[in-house]
Amino acid sequence: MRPTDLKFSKTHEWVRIEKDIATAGISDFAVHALSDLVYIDMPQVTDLLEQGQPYAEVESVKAVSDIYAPLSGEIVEINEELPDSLETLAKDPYGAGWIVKFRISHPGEVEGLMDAAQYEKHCKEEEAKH
Amino acid sequence: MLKRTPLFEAHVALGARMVDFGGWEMPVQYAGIIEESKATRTAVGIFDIAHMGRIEVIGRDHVAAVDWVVTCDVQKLGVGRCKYGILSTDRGTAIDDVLVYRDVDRTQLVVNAGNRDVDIAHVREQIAAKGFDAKAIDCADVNEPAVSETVLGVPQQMLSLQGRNSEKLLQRIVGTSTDLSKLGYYRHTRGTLLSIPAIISRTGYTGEDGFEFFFDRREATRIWDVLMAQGRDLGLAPIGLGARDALRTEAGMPLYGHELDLNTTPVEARLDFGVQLAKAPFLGQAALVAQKAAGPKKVLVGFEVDTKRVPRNGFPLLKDGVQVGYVASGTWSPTLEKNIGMGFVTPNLVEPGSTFDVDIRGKVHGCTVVPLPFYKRPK
Repeated sequence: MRPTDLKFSKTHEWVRIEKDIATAGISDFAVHALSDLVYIDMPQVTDLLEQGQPYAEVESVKAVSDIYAPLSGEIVEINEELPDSLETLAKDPYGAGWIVKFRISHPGEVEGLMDAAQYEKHCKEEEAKH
Repeated sequence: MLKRTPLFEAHVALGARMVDFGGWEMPVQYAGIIEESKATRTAVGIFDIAHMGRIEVIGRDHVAAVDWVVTCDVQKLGVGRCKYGILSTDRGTAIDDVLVYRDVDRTQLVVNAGNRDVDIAHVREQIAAKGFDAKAIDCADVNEPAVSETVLGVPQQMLSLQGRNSEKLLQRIVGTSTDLSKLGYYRHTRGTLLSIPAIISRTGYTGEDGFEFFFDRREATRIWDVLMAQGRDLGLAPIGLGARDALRTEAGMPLYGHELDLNTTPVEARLDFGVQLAKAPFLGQAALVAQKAAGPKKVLVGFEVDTKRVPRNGFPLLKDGVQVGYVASGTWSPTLEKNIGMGFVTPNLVEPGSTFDVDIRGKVHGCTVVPLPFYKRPK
């Protein structure tokens, strides 16, 4: 089940906001669509995120995909374990599969994101396209 | 409108993800590329390859006609044998790569999905231009009345079983009509599947032992269902195009559009086993002989990378910061568990151990040339 306390981007990233710190990752929909993940190119602490711009890349057997920043900010922590345990992205995308934590610089950007119900509808629409 | 094989519904029912491939809506994966690759390498995989083209050339000059349009020697190819070759332009570049089946009174070509219309038009044009007493029939075309003149007499479905258990599985539906243990590598025979007439060859595109077989397309679902059921105890898995691509790359096999195209010759792609330059005259011969003598300006090599990033089609290859080529195919290898690539480079970099760099989305990583194939099945 998708947690209801998250916000989602159209490009299938999620973000959990706790005061001025946000935790971000990719959704179960994204993990399923990518499948067969073999590598993640992680950003570094102090990297600046800009909403809608790529900050990490994941390699699957078939393709390389960008991961986009759901909000702007400065990275304060990265999930060091993730590159060596990519399966957690698939098993627990909203928990142990988190990618970065960052300090939010433009809180107003949250308005552009979807809640869980809106995201559910968005995924259904994308599925129908295929 | 994308074309569908008779097994479209069967793929969807198995949860396959369907994609456009050469104008066909085909399964790219079922359980996942890694799992499917492993099933093929350790047990047996089943592939729907009905999107591929099948051309039968009949008439008195069937051998001479096919021999003229392909780079391999068909005149010397014995009845019951298969051979890999290239449909070449007069410049020596590839219109397609094909598998030639020599039968008693006819010669058959298996061609790529995306090229089938171009291929059959080309073969017919060459037959007319050279005045051969021969006729090319598209065996998969349901609107082609001449299909009645083919071996099977009806539009065809084509399936493949690949992997060490493929002989055992196929024998179960071949019954006593053919002893598959006596069918050698790159040989074909007429036989039956569940008592339906079929052409069966010991060929494939994975580097494993395996078979490809043609039969009445109206029987596609029945044969598929019986194989799926009978293959359960042998570890059978349905395999999509994703794993098929990873498997053929591991086996160092070319894919049209990557290692071969209208700007690339089989000499450049180092497919010497499919080109007999000294055979009877054929289309593209002069250009290929000249290129072989002068030396090609680009050559295909296999390489490994010193990064976890995957080299992919089109990425630039560099030596000392200067571009010397490009990646043709690359993948994470599920069998070898490392990244592998094939690419075209300048001839000075052809030897195993040679080094160059690959530009993966703006970052440069080291590559080392290794011998092809990357994977060879244990005998």
